[in-house]
Amino acid sequence: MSGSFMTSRLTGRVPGDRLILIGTGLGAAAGFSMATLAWSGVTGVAAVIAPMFFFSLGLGLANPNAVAGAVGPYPHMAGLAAAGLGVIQMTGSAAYGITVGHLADGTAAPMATAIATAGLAAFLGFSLLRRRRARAP
Amino acid sequence: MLQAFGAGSGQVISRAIVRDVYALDQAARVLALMGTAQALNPILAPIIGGFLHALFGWRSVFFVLAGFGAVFVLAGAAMIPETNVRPDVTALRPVRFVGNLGTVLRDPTYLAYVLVVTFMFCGQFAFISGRPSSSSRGSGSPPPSMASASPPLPSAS
Repeated sequence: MSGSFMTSRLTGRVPGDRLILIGTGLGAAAGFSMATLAWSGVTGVAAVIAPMFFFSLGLGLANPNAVAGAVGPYPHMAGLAAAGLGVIQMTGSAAYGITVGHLADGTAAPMATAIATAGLAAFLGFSLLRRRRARAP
Repeated sequence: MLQAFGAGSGQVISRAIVRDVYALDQAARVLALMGTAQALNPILAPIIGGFLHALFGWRSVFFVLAGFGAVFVLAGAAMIPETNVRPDVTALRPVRFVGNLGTVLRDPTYLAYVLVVTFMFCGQFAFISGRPSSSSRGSGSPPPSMASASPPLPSAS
């Protein structure tokens, strides 16, 4: 929530793609902090909630810009582009959430690992695809 | 399930409308504002639902939802003009539809952005489904109704 509020202030001053890199990078770092704490046996609500706060901050920075970026270039089929995005976003994350639910072992470790993986995948995936696009004419 | 059709179309259409009305950097700002409002959902909804349940019984929740729905339909009809300045009547013909879908799915830029939204949301969902067991175990004092009181999936865009 604070992330998306920050985005609404920052947009226009900072390029959207940079906010996405910062947001996903923050998400990856937060995920890895949570995973490190969980795997080293640190328990307690704060060890999960504090990193999760930063992950959500990253999400708030990255996602509004990513939605705008995905739908923006398609004025003649904005509905289709938004629908494709929604389908992939919802089925993907629902499947991910269900998988994590099944992996639950009573500790925070599986969940924290999954959050770290998701953050890293968002950061690396965007960096790589962005570079490929930059090279293409 | 019918409710999910409505809920799903709301997000898709509101995103498309924002795209129609605002320039790229403005669109991100508006979407972020929508995200801020949506982030309040999982905080407010269980509280309101809890009050309704306690005061009027669980059936009242559905009456209130129906009321909200009616208000949104009227407000939408009255306040939002059609924003699609280039309506495409052929867009729903199967061949064209699949072709258009192929166009966006082959676009690496589109996929890069979709990937960001999806994976960041995956992290959020991982937290939602992992939280009840891990946080209650970790704190040593399991909140009794944590799992059942888990807010319905927040839809921060």
